[in-house]
Amino acid sequence: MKKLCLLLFMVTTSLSLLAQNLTVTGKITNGATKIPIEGVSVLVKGTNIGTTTDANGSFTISAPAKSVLIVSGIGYGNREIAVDGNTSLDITLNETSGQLEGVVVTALGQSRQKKSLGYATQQIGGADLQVGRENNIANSLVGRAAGLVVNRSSSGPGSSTRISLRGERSLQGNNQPLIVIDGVPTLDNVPRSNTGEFNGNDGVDPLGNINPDDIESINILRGPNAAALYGARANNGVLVVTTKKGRKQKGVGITYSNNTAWESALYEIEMQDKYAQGVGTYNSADENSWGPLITGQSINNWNNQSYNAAPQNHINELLQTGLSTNNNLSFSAGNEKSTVRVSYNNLYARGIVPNNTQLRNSFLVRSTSDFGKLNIDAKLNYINQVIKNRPQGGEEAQNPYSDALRMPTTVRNSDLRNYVNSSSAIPTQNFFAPNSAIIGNPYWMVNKLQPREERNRILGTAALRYKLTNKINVTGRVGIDRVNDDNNRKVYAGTPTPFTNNSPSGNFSIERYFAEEINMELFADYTSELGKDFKLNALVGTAIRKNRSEIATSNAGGLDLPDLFAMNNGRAVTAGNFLSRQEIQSLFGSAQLGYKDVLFLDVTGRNDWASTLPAENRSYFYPSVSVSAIISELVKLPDWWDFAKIRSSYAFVGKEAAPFSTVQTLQASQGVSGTILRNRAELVNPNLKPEQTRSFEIGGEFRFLDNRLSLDATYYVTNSFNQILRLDLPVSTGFNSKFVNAGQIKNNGLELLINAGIVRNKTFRWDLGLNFSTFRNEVVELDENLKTVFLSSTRVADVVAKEGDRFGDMYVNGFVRDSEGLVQIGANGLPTRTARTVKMGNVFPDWTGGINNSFTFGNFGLDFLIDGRFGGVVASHTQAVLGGLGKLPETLEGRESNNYIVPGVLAGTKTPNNIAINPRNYWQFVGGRGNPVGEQWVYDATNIRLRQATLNYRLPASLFTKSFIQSINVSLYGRNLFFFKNDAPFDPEVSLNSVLGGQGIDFYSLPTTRSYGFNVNVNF
Amino acid sequence: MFIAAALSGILWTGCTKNFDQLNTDPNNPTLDNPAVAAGATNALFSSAISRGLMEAGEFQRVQALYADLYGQHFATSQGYFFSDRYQINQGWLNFGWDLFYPRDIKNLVDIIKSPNANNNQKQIARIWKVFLFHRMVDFYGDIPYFDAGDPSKPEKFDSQKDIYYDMFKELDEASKALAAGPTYDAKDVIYSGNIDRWKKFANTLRLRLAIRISKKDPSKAKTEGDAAITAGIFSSNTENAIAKVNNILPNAYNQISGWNEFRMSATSESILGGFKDPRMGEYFSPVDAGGDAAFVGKFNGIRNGSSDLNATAENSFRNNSNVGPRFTVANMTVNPRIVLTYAEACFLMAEAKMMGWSGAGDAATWYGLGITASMKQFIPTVPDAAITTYINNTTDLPLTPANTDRPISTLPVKFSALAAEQLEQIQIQKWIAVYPDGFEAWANFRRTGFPKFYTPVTYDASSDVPAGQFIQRIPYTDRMRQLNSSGVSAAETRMGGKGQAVKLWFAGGN
Repeated sequence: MKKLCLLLFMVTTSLSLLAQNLTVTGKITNGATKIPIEGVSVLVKGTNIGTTTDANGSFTISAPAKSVLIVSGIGYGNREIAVDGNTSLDITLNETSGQLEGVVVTALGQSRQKKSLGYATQQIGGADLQVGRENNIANSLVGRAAGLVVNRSSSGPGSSTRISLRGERSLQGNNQPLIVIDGVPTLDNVPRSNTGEFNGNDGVDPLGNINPDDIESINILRGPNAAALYGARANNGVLVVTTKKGRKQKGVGITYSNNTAWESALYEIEMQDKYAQGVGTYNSADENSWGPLITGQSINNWNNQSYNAAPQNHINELLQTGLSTNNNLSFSAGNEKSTVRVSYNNLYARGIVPNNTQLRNSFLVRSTSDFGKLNIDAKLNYINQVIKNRPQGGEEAQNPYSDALRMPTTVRNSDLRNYVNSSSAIPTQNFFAPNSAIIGNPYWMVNKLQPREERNRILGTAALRYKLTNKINVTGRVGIDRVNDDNNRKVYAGTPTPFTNNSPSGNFSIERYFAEEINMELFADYTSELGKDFKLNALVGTAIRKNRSEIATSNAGGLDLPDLFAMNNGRAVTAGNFLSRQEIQSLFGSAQLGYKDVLFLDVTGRNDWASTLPAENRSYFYPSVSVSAIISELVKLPDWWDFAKIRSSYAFVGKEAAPFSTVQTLQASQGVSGTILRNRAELVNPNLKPEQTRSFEIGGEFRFLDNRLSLDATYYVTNSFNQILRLDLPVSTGFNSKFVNAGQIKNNGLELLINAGIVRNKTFRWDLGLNFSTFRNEVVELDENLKTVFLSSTRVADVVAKEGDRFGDMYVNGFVRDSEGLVQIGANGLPTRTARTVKMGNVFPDWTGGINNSFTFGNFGLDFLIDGRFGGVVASHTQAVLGGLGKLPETLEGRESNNYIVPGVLAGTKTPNNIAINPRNYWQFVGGRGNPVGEQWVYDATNIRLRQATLNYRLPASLFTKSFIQSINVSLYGRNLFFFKNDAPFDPEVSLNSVLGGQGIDFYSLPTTRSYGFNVNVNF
Repeated sequence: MFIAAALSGILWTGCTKNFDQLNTDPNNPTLDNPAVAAGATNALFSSAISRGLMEAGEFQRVQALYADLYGQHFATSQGYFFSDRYQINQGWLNFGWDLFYPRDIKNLVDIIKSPNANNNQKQIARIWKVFLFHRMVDFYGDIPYFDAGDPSKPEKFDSQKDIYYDMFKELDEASKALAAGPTYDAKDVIYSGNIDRWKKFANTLRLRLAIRISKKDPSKAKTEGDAAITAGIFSSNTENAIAKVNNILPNAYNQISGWNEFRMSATSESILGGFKDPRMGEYFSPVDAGGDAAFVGKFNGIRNGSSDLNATAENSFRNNSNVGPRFTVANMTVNPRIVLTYAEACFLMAEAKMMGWSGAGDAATWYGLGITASMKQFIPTVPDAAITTYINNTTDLPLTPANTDRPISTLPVKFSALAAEQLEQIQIQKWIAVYPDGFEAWANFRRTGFPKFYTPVTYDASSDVPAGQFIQRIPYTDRMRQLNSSGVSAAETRMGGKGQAVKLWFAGGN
């Protein structure tokens, strides 16, 4: 609470104070089109003081009279403008192709000229995230950023995504990039992911809470070079998010935007509609679809009501059109010394599963003040989010989608919709198996199982910078990120008792989750010319990071009185609490030496002290070095070659262990007679050492033909050593695993960004952007005792990291084949299953790429983004189950005549199989929920899709000359519109959940969605 | 900067002093934490009983879907489970295996060597360890035993004979070392630390194991059996080992009976139905109103290994008998778990007497006592006359259920004069008495071949059991092999094979 008060104090005081620097205002326009440019950054050279232009191209900055401003915008070249005592500047910028020479925000919020960086970065402007928006920013980054792979979970609005940059490197730790907002690291982007084979769902991830309208830009640092300044979590790359600031202007600037979008399932799994419920004969109480041919015969439902058999579509009936509306209102004001921006965002979303909604309210206040020697930047972001009825995943009856998928086609939707059977004292499901844990009436599940999740989150930052001398600034910064989740779940009376702790009266459970991260930093930076040609930029600082999370759960253990949702009404209340905490203290420093602004050398170093490691290994140091050279300034290039830069870097990163990995404890829980204890199954290791990553990269940036064509290429190699692994032990030792330092994972890859201004004239422009990324992960070494680590093991497939192979290879039960690969068919007409030894491929793509076309015609703009993932496999348990139940179209072959001949040869011969069998025998053998033959159910994950299409119209300024409106922008967009190529019967981007082990596995995942919407942006 | 890094050693050590405490989980104690050490032994033992008997998820995967089906009290009633047709689902097995050692055996090993445990606590832990282990040995065959719970030793699979010999030694030593003094409190949810009861439990278990090996190793069996009988086995139902349950750790059997995954077997229908056994209505329920009219109100069973489950009315779970009232979900928090009974002890004695082992009475007497004890255990109010009538019944014979071509036996309840028939009758009655313990029913069948079970209707293609024969053991999983391939191979070589058809040591194998 004290910290919050401090933040509020800073926000308010920084507004009211004044100071004495020269205030420069200006307007920046496109040199060719004369249109004002929004989002251009303006930086006082040699300092970190900067701002960006507003929608009218205007900016205000406080700068010394003799200073120089560096003006740069995405897609434009940069210019240096001497202030020379002017307080008003009109600046024009000319377009370049691509994003090469801007000023970017890097580690610790330091603005740096991009050309001086020795490592790869890519900046994405806020406009790209706001037009054609997704409510979770991560999804908007897909296809735009090279090397970035996003997989989404399928738990409806507000569900999490999984991001990786440059592939996976940690076997069991977090592989997601660090999210840094306004210079302050936030909670790890690890979602609360609980979807398993049977039940659970995925909660929201930290990035998904952030309102896209507040984002000015995202700068993606792909490699680990920022780790010296951000700590080990930057090992996986960093998303540096910068939120919008207020601007100096007359009066108050108001921006209103509305975004409304509709979404629907992108695809529908194909089903057979020829055969009725039952096996052989019609049976109204059977989950199977191996019944008789549907001929319109009279059948009875489970209530013995008769009707004529006809196929029904249960998925279309269940899933609805989703809707999301975003209203965003922001106020911006500022004078010479201070700015403030206040924004309010309201998001309402309705999922494609009935009753599933998300309501998010977000407030953000950001204020900057400049008192000459002292600068204050403070921000407070409060987010409240309520998600109701997030659908369950997994295969149990609780998952309405899995129920609808498996429903035999002759079951009438009208019977299902009438989901309550009131014949007993406590009404139950109107269904053929009303107490089944396996299958249920989907409408009961969406109406009578009601989870509610509420999140309150506060992100606060306060930074003070004091100019000690002309050359030295001291900065102190405190950031806090705190999440409070309050979740509960009501299960109504009459729900199948496996989901009510066996009570006929329903059940109630509560979960409270708390997570907090506090970062405190103090650092000094020093800038000085060394003689005529050299410039030194040095920084030294210290940081403390504290993390704490706590979960408290309680479960009523079944309700006594029906539908009284109170713990006091529980039959056997159980409760538990779980705590995790850690602290890291650090010293860090960096130095950059520039020669004539054409050669740059950077060195960094950081020493961490981590509470999660044993005392003797607690302290560890990691350095990095990088160089960049502007070749075009050093040698004379041909006329058509405008710019060339070569960069290279080498970095070490050390990483701490997970909390509580060094002390052996007992686990307490409630038993028959008081508390019972058991041994923790993981053998802890009191000698753990930090993990280590070494990374090398080399790259270049080039521009040609009057900056119309640009190329940015990076090759990288990273090696992760001494990973802290939970290594499986034979369980007879009393432990199922032990913590060790072992393994070496090597990643190498290539990233390419190409931008081309294909057509450029006054009325029409065509810009083309291409990105391409490929990487290879290799498990070089694991442990002398263990050569395979299981990333996941589900009934359909194992995903493993095996020594000598790629990370993420998929193994399944296959068909026994002969030396020529012919499937061996036994005397029973069936193949034989192998052990889980058949490798099907890797769950990660071989390469990914995106093509963005952008056309501008007068006030119209048309954008479309195509992206693809090439290579990789995905296994589908959903398909396996549907096959076993006789729901898939391929199960129709041979049904009528009862003679299906399995492709293959008679065992031990080359004679093609000629044994006719009932197709049900084959499909139940390869499919079904218990033990499917995975080989049958693995698909190529390659897909190419139209990710986004946007039509944008800026209303002519002449319309508003007399009004208080300054500009209006309208856009129409569609996202995830269709596949150009996809061989799987579902979207291969779905996954079981949003943790590493869920990748490449479809387990009743909800379909991904196609969305259409419009966006209106009004500036007053 | 680098100077700063060098200085840091001095500056920082002061600030990281609380790091060790910070990195210790305050919610979960360490074993040597004095605050919990005193009570820890009771709490560790309590877990080893309640969880050692398996919670619902493990019970389903290991007992209900394997042992209980192979012991043929029950049959699978859902088409998506194939274990009744001898398909091995390794995921289920790994689930149980991963809990058995780290959770249950490790707790007991820790008690046995704990400086905080008293003598009786240690001895009782040794006895309970034998109980848990013998079920796993009879399930898989050779398993890691001697070094179990010791992470400093590499995993080693021990031979069944060595394990059996050591289990006898453990029961002998531990039961003799039990003496008046401090013991477990109520956290021992079977006997609350009662020394005499645990002694009798150890002796009865020892007799069970002796009878188990009586065909394979007759002299050792007699030595151990005589010693157990002399030391004193259960003498009444009040001494039965019954584990308490509550709403937090309910009776797993009750809990999963609501899942409709199993029903009464044709074997049960033949025996209990044919004998018009009073226990039928305790063990099973007639088909309820959810079934088809032709079946409602009847006791109907499914033949094990049927492949047309729910495809025909006869084999629909709706038309077959679920468990009896005491075993339903509604009673899961009050129906205690049966561990070892006096009734079984009587049948063990009957067989011991047939082999001429020590102790009072003759086989016929013990046969009658066993039936009486079992009847009274399940139906406390049963009139003695009804029991006498049952024991002397010569007319009611096992029947021939649908989908079968014979009754389980052609013998009545009345004890025969022929030794061969007596043996079958003892095993049939013992099989009835051990209900619902599939571990024991299956092990006893593998030893004696009685009751004469029905072979599965269908053998899964992955099974290596020849047609007409029965599964003998559960094979090791790929994961056990991955983690210890040489150990698993050595065990398989010793046992003479790796499949389901390989006979265990007590049943005549290696």
